[in-house]
Order: sequence, then structure tokens, then C-alpha cells
Amino acid sequence: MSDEDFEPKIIAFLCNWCSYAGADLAGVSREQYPANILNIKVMCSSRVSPEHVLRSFKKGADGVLIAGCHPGDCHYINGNYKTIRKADLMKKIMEDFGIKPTRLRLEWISSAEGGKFARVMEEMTEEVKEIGPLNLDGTSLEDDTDE
Amino acid sequence: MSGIGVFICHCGSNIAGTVDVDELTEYASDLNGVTFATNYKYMCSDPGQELIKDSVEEQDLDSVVVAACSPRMHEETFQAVVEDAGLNPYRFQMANIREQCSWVHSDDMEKATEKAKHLVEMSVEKSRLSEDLEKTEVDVNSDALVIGGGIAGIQSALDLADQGKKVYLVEREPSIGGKMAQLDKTFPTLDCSSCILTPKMTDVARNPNIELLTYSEVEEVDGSVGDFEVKVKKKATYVDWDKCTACGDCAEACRRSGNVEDEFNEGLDNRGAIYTPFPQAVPAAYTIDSEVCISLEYDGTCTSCREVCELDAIDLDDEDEIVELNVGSIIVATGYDLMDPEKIYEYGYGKSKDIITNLELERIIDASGPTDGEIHRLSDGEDVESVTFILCVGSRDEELQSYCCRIGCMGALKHVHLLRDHLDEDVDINICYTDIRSFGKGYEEFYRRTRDLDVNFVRGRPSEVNVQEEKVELNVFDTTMDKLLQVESDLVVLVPALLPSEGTEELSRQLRITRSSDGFLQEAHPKLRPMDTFTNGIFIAGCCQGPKDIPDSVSQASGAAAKASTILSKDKLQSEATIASIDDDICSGCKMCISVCPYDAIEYNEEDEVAEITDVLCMGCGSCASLCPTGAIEHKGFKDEMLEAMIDAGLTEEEG
Amino acid sequence: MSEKKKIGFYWTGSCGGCQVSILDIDEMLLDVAEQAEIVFWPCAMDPKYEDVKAMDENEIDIMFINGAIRLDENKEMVELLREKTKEVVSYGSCACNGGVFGLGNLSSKDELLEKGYTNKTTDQGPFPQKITEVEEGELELAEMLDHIKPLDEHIDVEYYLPGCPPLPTQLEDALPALLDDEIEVEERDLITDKSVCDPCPMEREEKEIERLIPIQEATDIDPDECLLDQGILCMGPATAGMCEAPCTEVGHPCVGCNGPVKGVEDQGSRMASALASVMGIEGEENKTEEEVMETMNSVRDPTGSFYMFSLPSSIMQFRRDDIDE
Repeated sequence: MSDEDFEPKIIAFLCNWCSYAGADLAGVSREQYPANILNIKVMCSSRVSPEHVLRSFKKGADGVLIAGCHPGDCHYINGNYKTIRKADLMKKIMEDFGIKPTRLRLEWISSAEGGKFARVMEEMTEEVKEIGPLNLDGTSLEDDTDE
Repeated sequence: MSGIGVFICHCGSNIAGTVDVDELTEYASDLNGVTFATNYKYMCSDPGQELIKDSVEEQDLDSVVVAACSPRMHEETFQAVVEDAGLNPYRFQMANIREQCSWVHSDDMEKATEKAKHLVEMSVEKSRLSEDLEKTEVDVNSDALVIGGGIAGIQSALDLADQGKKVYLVEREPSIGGKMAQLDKTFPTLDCSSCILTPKMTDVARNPNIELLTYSEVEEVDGSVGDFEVKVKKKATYVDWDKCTACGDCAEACRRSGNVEDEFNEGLDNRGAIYTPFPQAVPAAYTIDSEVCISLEYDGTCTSCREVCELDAIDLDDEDEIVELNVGSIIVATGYDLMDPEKIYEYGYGKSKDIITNLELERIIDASGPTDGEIHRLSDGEDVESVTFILCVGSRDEELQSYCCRIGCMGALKHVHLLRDHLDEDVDINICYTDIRSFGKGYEEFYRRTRDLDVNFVRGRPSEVNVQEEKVELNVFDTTMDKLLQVESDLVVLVPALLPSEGTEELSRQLRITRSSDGFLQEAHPKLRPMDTFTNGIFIAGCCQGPKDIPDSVSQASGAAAKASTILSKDKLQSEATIASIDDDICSGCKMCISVCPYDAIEYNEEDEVAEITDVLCMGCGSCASLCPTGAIEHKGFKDEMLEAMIDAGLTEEEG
Repeated sequence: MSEKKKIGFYWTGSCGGCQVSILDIDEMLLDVAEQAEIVFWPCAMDPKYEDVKAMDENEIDIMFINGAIRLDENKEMVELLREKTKEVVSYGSCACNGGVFGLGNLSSKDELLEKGYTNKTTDQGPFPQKITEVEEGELELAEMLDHIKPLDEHIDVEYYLPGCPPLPTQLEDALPALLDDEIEVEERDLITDKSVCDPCPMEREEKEIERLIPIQEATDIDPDECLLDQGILCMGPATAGMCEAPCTEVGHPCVGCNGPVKGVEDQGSRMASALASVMGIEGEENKTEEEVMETMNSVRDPTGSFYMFSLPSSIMQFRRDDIDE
């Protein structure tokens, strides 16, 4: 696959109260953005485990977005602070595992920021396109060439 | 065979114009677990809803996926349809193929259809793992507890009692009234504080719905919203309040009379061991201060008070008593304390009797206060020729309290009016201020009126207050005149910062409510939930939440009462359905999750050595499930398996 | 009494500690010898490859295999033993989760060889190669595989008994169950649902950790208080607890040798999630995003610490080549 044709697959975990609503607003405002991103709704960004992020990459995602309420605005008071810290550790671990930390992106998108949601989707798709495919799907140990 | 039904909505052309709904339906019908798939023009319309309902029965569906608009639009609509059809509403999933697909990819039908397929597949995968969820219910005790008997607590208690709720009002001191009872007049109206407060106090005493527990403190709080179990320690008063008529004979007879610092008068006067804080105290009864009573603290020989009490109300064998209360909601109104001005050494508080706080001045001005309203120098009783106020003592100070006390400026302006009434007109009055903040209704007008009273406003904070032989001298750099001034005064009035009242930290721990960085109790949202705490069922009112004046305290108190009432008026409370639950066969008691819960919904069960969730407190954020290192915590409706299945489904390559 | 069970012990990529742990059951070895016949134990006997090859299918009842699969020879042997065995026990952390050698998966095979053979300050010996020509002919050496793998990545495994090494008590509990046909297979589960915290005797607080302190820099450790509460990284919460917490009991933090509790896939990221959630809570609302992240800087070498014993069985398993050097 040439880089030109590369269409990255991105999983986006959106918190119910801010970012999912922001994504809806982008729709209501008919903002257009690339179709590369698949949203998974969680109640709070802090629900997202590092395991979900690693699993996404392992299963073939080229990028993962975690989006939540702006710090201080968390519907659950302080969930997004946990998310900041988890994402920070995650990025360090990803780097050790030879995965570019920039493939994981943390964004604060409020329910009023439909435009920002669309922009983040666009930027992230572009950025991941530039980084290139990660392609971990199918490189589990089973397929690892030993012989 | 039962299975999942997938219902795809055209939403007119909103979806069907961009997503190939027929192709999507065909795709959906082949998905794992799907036994039925169809599409319709408007799924949310009556015929659409009927279609779902009928299909559930005819196709023997056990779960339903609707691919349509955002769940924020119609999740509840379809949940109701599914419930109508006899399924648990949580066997319903919604794929958002309008707001998050057709509307945002309207220029590329192929890609939008591809994405819609993934979104539907993800929902189907989640649906495969869905299960019936129930909301737990708890009974609500309709009684309330109000902690703190100042003006805020009094207002909350009266409001709730007026709604027919039984209220326990707990106050640490022997009388209710709080700081407001110590005030002479109130700004900006200059009406007499006790004239407006005491009727409310007697209302409390008379109200059959209010059970007054003064000289009492909260010892322990357990349980949760709807059913708090509270232990209150009623401290021994050594006087049978049912008998005491507050005649005062005992106080006169007390051998320690005039030997004990009178707290109500800010130490400017003395009382005895048996006392009532102030004449209008509610309840009107005497209390023996056991720490200074000769009999109780020393040798047990003194019987002076017992001898004179004709009603035989004195009982030196009285003991502390623990009262157990069950209430559905709690309002905290524990007020404030003044910062000890000695913290600012250079202001000389404590070095001269002529350097006082604003609350001391309040007592001095009060006609029933320690000086009967006469204002003289406290050091030698000489006439006062000059008074200087220092505002912001410890307030708006990065080293001490960074916040504004919100009552200092207005209080000092009020004092100017009162001093002008009490003192000769040639007396100098100086106010050293940072900014005059007169933000409330009628406050700015009051400030303007005060300016006409011949007051020297000096913009600056004095660097030092020196006690000279006769006068008190202070140096202050006036930043409006760019000049260093030296001012001599007979009375220096410090206006200290407001602090959360003593014991707030401990109380916050007992109640499991949070404090903000300034130490005051924290509201759940600074704008939209100013009287809620993060702990469901506990509300805050008055200065315990942050400095405020009387009108604001009273408003918040009424608001808190109304909030509490919305809980107390219900028979039952329901939990959310999509909450966390802990498997105690897996939980290893590491206590990682407990401090993480923003609602204190997780408690450690010492006996079983596992963490437990109180369903009604859990708001369902799922952060505990995300962190549980053993996977003992499950977030219902958002289980790990579900999220994993959605990830996998999102990333499958379509075959062919 | 029924016929004696035939059992065997084998090690692959391993330090040898697991083999010693078998001897640690002391007199119980005699009981084992009564119930079972040890037919294969290279560490104690001298069987030849050909002997094993000559065995019938399923001739051995229970085979304990410890060590990770590092060399092609390891792989060949375990595949052969699998053929000859009814039930395989993955014994010790390396066999179960890759063990501490699994950290090698953070480097490529070439990097490891380079580091081991060419950058050494001492003897610059020859670089190992599969075939070496000597006067007498060709010598064949086992070759490193690209990645370390746990045993079950190559062969089916019936039971897991992790630990570095498993404690004598664990083996004492496991052996009778394994040797007794009366006991249901499900009941022979050797990995617990509960973590090390469950048996750990330390006094625990609700976790709020300001920052982590390297244990060598920690002074005044309270021997009765949870080490994590004292800011010392302890893998206990994310580690299966069948060992009964002997390390923490003597004041040493759990290093996670048992791997994750049953049902958890990724020990390391679980620990990362738990720790990130409880660190730096105090005053977080007044911090900038950068300051909140700074809290995590006290977690030194998170990957090495959290995945010390389970990297090859984690979700990622080994380093990928997304980052250009």
C-alpha cells in the first residue's frame, strides 16, 4: 500500500457529557471531516483503560483519540485529571514498545465545540497519515517469523 | 431462536441520502447474533416505534440495536419502546449514524456507508454482551439534619420545618444565633441585628418540627443519601433545661462569676462558670462550663448555684449523651471564624488593648455590650479622638488568605456610621483600604453616603502599627497620594480575614465532603450547583462554603433547604442503572479505588476486607472500573468486554 | 493404589531457580516418588533426546516445564514433550508469562546479541552463529528466536503455576491435586482471582500517593504500613496472590513475579492505570495540565517496572518498529 492510499484507522473514545456532545454538534453544524474515525462512547474519559488503548493498536488502529471535558469541567468532577496521568504513562509505555506516542492523542472538547471536534478529527487523520500505518493487526506472535 | 434485531433509520434523507441503508441492512443482517434487520423512513415516528415493538415479538428478539440519530436525541424514546415490548431497556443499543456519520461525511456516500457499517457492527457487538440492568431503590427518611445554628442554619431549619419536615438543628454553642447574634447593626440598612435575628431564633424554639440540639456536636456520620445515620454528642450542661427558667440567680451566686472570659463579648467582658451566652439566648437556659466550675473541675465542694436554684435544676452528675439520628439529608451551615490577627505581627494585635478586631468593636458599640455602648479607649478609659480601620488584615494576601472576605469593607463603612452616632463629630476616622468593594444591592449607595461622613480613605496597607505611650501610631503609604502617612489613633480596628470555622476540616471528613483549596467546603459546581456537595444528599449554606454577607447566606440557606427537600419529599431514591459493581470474590482490598471515587460511593468493608459500592451514590463514571488492577470492578453497560468487542468490531476489515 | 503417574521436569530459557524450587519441597519429594515415577528430568538425570523421541504419545502423565522459549531448541523440545505428555504444567514465571527475560523483547534480537557479544568490555569472543566450522567438522548451536514467548504461545498448556520461582508451598498444594485424578480439573486452578494485597499483612490506607520514591532512597520505612502508601512502587495490587505475599511481609515490595490475576490480560497497563489514578490527587484541580503530568515523572521506568515478569504475555508482547532510531 502506498502512503498516498493509506487511510488510517482511528479509534476515538469520547466522554458522554462533553466530547460526544461536541461530536453531535459537529454533525448538527454539518461540519465535514474524514470518515477514518470511529467513536466509542464512554461516560467519562477516565473510563478508558490503558488496556483499551493498547488493544486498539494491537487490533489494527493507527491512532487513538481520548477526548473529554476540559480540565475543571469534568462532569464527574476530576475524571479528566486521571485521564491526563494515564495518558502520560501510556505514552511512555508506548514509546518503550516502539510505538510513536503521537499516535495517542488527548483532547478536551466541550459540548459547544463542534468546530473543534471536526478540526481535531481532520488534524489527527492528517497527522496519522503522515506518521504512516502502524499495522500491528496480524503481527501477533503467532505470525512472527521464527523459522 | 432469539437474537438481536437491527433497525436502521433513514431519517428521511438525513441518513438515507448519504448512507446506503439497503446495503447497511444487508450487512447488518449477516452480523454475528443478528437474526433480524430492517430499515424504515423514520424509526422514531409512531409507525417506526410500532415496527420495533412488533418485531421484538414476531422475531423473538432479545436485544435491539437502532441505527439512527444521536442517543442524546432518542435513546430514551427507544428505551421506552423496547421496555414496552417487554425487554429490559438496557438491552437496547444505539448506533449514531446521523450526527456522527451521515451529516459529517455527506460528500462521500461510499465512506459514510463503510463507517456506518462499522458503527452498526460495534453496537451489535456491544449488544451481544448486554444484559438486563435494574436500578436499585432505597427508602428515604424524610427527616433532615442541619449542622450549625447561625443565621444560615436557622433559615434552612425554618424553611424545612415549614414544609412539614422534621429537622434536627445541631449547634456547638449553648445557644443558636451564631456570629449574627454578636453584631450590633447590619449593613446597608443599619437595622439592629438582634431585632431581626431573635424573632427567627424564637421561631426555631417554638417550631414543633424542629428539635434543637444545642451544646452538641456531630460525632459520626454513616450511611448515605436518604438514610444517613448520625451520632450527635450532647455535651453535659449540668442544668436541667426543662426546669431552668433562665432567672439568672445561679450566675450571680457563682463563685467564679466575673472570672471567666466571655466568648460572646469577644473576651471584653467576663462571665461565671454557670452562664448563658447572651440575654436573648435560645434555648433560654443556663449551662455550666465544666472546665472552670470549681465543683466540676476542682474539688467538688462548691454548691453556690445549687443552693440558690429554687427549681432544683442543677445536676452536677449530668453526663455527655450520644443521640442517634436517622435523616435523609444533611445541610451544613457551620459558618466562619475570624483569622487571629496576631498572625500579622506588625499590626500589634495583643500588644495594646486599643488594637481590636471589628467583632470586638461590634460588641463595644452594642448598647447591651460590655461597655453598654460607650466608646472609650480600652487601655485607660480616656476619650477617643481618632479611630483607624485597617481592612484586608490577612485577606487578599498571598501569604495568608488570598481571597476577599466580602464583608470587611461594608462592615467598616457601617462602623463609620455607628461611630459618627456615638462619638463627637470632630473625631478623626481613617480607613486604610485596598479597594472598597461594595457590590451588593444598596451597597454602593451606602458607600457614597459614608463618604459624606468626613472619613479619610487611605488607599494602602499599613506597614506597621506601633504602640506609643499614649496613642497607637501607624505608618501607611497612600498609593493615591503617593505619600507616606503617619497616623495616630486611640483605637485601631483590624478587619481580619474569614476562615472556615474551627472543626470544618474534621467535619468534612466525617461527612465525606470535600473542601476547596481555601479550606472552605466545596460546592459541586461553582455556578450551577452552589449549594450541593459532591456527596449526594449533603448540602452547604452560608460562610462554611465561602465568605458571604447575611443576605447571601440566607439565600443559600433557603436554596439548600429547597434542595434537601427535593430528596426528603420522595419516598424512594433510585440509583443509576449503569453503575459500577464490585465482585467480592476478586476484590483483594488494595484500596486503590476508594480515594478515586469523586462521590465517596466506595467504602472499605473491614470485616470482609473488600471494597463495596453504595449504589445510590455511584454516578457511573467508570473510573474505578478502569483502574481496578484485578478487574474486580465492572462498569455496568460499559463492561471491559463490551468496550473490547467494540474496538475489535471497529477495526475489522470488511471481507471482500 | 492405582498405577504410578509418570511425571517429568524440563527447563527452557530459565535461570534454574525453578528447578531448585522443586527440591525445596524437601521430604515431600519422597511422597511424590511414592505416587509418581519421575521419567524425565535432565537436571537430575541424563536422558537423551533420542530417548524422549522414542517415547509413546502421551506416555508421560504430567510434564512440568519451566523457562521461556528463547531458542529454537527450546521450541523443538517443548513441541516434542507436548506430543509425549497428557498434561503440561507451565511452571514458573518465565514459562507462564515470559518472566524477567521477557524484558529482552524491548530490544531486537540483533540488539541483544550486539550488546552481549560485541560491546562487552571483556573478551571479544566470536559472535554466536548457528553453524560454526571447526577442524573436526560443523558445530551446530541453538539459535535465538526473534522474541521471547511464554510456553503457551508454542504449545497447549493445561495448568499454570507462575512464580519466580514458585514457592515450595505452592508446589506442595499443587502436586497432590495434579496427581489425584479424583480432583476435578477446574478445582486445580493454580492462579488466584485475588491479588497479593489479599494475603498481604500490611496496614493499607485509601490510596493517595503524592509521588513514588525509589526504594533505595526511601528512609524510615514503616514495616507495618503498605509500601505503596509510603510511595514505594509495589506491584502487589496487580499481581496474582497465591504466593501469600512473602516479599511484602518482610518489607520488600512485590515485583510482580506471579503475573496478573486470573482473567487479566495485561498486568503492566493495569498497574499503570491504577497508579495514575491515585497519584497526585491532592490539589490537582489547581494544577496545569503539564503539572498534572509531572506527577508521573516519579514513576521511573514504567514499562520495565510494570512488565518486569509478564511482558511477552502482555497485549503488546514485544517492541514494534514504529519508531525510527
